[in-house]
Amino acid sequence: MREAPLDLTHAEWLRACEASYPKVYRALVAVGASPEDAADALQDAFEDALREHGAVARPDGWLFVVACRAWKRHRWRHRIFRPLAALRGDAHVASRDDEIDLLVELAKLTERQREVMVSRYVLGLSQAETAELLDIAPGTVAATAHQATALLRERLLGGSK
Amino acid sequence: MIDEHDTRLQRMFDERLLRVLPPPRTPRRRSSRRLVGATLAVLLTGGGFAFAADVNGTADAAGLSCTDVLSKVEIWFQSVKNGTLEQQIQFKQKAAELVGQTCSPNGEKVPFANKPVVPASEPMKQPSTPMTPECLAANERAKEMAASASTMTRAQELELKQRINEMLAEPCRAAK
Repeated sequence: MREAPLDLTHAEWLRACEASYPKVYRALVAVGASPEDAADALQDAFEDALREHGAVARPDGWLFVVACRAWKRHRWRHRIFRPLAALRGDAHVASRDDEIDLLVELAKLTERQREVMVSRYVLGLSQAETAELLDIAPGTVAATAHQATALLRERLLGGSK
Repeated sequence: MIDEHDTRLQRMFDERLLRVLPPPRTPRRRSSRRLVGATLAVLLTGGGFAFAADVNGTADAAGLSCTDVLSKVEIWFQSVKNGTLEQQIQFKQKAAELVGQTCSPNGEKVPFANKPVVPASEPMKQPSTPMTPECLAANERAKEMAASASTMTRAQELELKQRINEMLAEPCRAAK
């Protein structure tokens, strides 16, 4: 069931964006951004949020998608200066307690699988909302989520259902 | 559409991401590398435009706005080397000689003529001095002597030339 777009005032919109900052930051880290890149990308997204706000059902979803685009735009620069592997290592080094780590396993998924899983499990979006935000077909979201869930189950939970 | 949701995965996500602490929101870091890169890009672009404008300006001043880029650069280099303090006409002349062409008033390339034609000017003529009878006679004699030189060796020829010069020196002094 799709939620109706919220008709927020500018102040309410900004408050909603501010409130979703920690959640969207974690979502960006889960997608693969380093802490610095996640903060920068979110700052870009907030600048966009200050300029405009559309009638969106989920400000956190909107912020995530805009920040993701900003992060992808700037990623090539980091690829020049630092190898991607080191980048990923930097992002997760503070919290890698053991071999099996959720973020490490997420990094092994495709970009779309990561985005779908993060939208579902970190932002708490429904499949319909995820499809709308990522601009892909709901069926594709369902299939992608199914494949990615199976892979994560296999790797993190040893394949038990 | 089945909205598949795994509660155990959800718990793993929650537990793992709770350890990721978001930093306080601050203005975006401005990397010094980015600043240096941007400054360099601006300087290079500005310098390029200024150089192109200077080269075109110099070519225009030389009346060679229609010429190709390399020639324009060559003209610019020459103008820089020479200090650009010459008269405009002289500079135009030099520049046109350099590239071997000039521009017509409607901007078309015209081959440059090395010696400009000045209307109403006459070729320089030396005023002739009338020869004395002694000089004429000496000239006649010199011609006869020269006619007999066809069978001479090189050394004999040189000796004969010297004798003729000495012979003509005195009577033809006034004619020179």
